[in-house]
Amino acid sequence: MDNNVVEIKGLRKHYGGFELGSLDLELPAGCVLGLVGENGAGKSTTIRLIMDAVSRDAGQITVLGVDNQSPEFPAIKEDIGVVLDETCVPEVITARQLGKVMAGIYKNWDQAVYEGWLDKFQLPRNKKFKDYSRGMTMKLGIAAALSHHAKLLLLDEATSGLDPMVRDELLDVFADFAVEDGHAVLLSSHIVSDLEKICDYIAFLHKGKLALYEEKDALLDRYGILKCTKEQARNIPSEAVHSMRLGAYGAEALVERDCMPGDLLVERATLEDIILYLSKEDGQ
Amino acid sequence: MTAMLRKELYVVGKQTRMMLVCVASFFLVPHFCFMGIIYLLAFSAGLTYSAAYDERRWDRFAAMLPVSPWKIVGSKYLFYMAAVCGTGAVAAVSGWVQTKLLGGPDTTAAAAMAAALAIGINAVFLPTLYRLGAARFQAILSIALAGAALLAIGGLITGSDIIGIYSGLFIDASRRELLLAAALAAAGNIPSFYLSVRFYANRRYGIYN
Repeated sequence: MDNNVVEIKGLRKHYGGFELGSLDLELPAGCVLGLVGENGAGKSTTIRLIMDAVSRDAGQITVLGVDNQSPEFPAIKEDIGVVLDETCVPEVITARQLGKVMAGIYKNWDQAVYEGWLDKFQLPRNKKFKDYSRGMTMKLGIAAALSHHAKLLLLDEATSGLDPMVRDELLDVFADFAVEDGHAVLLSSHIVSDLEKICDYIAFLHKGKLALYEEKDALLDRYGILKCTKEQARNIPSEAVHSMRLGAYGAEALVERDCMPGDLLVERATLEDIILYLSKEDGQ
Repeated sequence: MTAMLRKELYVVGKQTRMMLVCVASFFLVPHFCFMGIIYLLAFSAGLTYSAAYDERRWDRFAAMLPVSPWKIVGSKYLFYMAAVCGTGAVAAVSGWVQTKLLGGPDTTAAAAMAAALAIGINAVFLPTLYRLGAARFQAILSIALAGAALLAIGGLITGSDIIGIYSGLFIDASRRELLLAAALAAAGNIPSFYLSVRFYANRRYGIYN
């Protein structure tokens, strides 16, 4: 399987007025890959394609060393924990009942682990799912995804709509999961600060195209924010500038640090800066 | 498969219990000639509720689980059959009480024929539902039920022998007719199941979208 838990090559999917790809991505073992992009950029579609829950037009996807359209893939699903943006658990069932259903679905279901997560997340066992808050529903989905000894976690907007404290708690859970031997996490989100916190790799999907796929640290090293006068801005080498905003008093630009002259002060860019500027670059 | 059956029970358990009470009550009424229709209506409603529910939420999640479409669709068929048999038993007991204690007509044949028809109708309903989707299926079902109701009411108003025909089909059914109906209904479910699996997998895979 090399060292990649997920490998995507030349993936394409077209439906309606939307086109995804061509997409080439790799998620190495022990890493967290953040999939970022605006609503409708193709993040959920990518996750559904990885699980072969929707047909693809072209390309190849390998998950845990197995082609996801091979007859062996259904068995590989045992090793994948998935949390969707909307936890699709029937709303009339309780956490206890969900445990019983899941125990019949996953061969490796570990009831003790599940009970442990319910305790950790302080989830009531006999409350119906429809009476859960958004945070509780996501926690229940995560508890279920973590209770069958999965090696890969696919999380589709698992932290959106949650308050910062709950998000922080869950990010720690994902980071802990990823460091275990052979594990990996793919986390899609449009909350870039969450991704910056735990991701090793960042993939930026913009209008269905892969605008960026790079190691997070390399990305943060490569780009910087330059704040200067309009006069100074005119003298910056064009190959260094990715996107520039001209204001009444000066200019602000996303630049490549290595291409910048040494006399200008380039500030550290956050992941959010990089994503925002790169998405604007496309519109310019 | 057990997990899927369990989930069905959790989702439509309340509706199933209500349906059992409803069927038991109707089979207690002496000379209640439309008991079979009530029985079928109750089942159709339960079935569409469950399928619409799945389509809205569960199917998206189920696609991520290590569960094949065979098991998902199979559990639907099994659950439905079990519900029909369970309801048939309740109807038979209720009918027996009505006959022995209240002096009404024997409704055993009606209960058995209604169960056979419910199984037969299921063979048509489920593949149609998986092919068209719950919303379109519900619309078609509503039109069909309204048509049937109008036909029955029209027949009663115009004095046609609709009750006679109905009694002949349900209450006066012979053992041979019952066996034939049950055999046909059961046989019809085999191709129906294969079609349903195909339609379900295609729908889930986005082929009909």
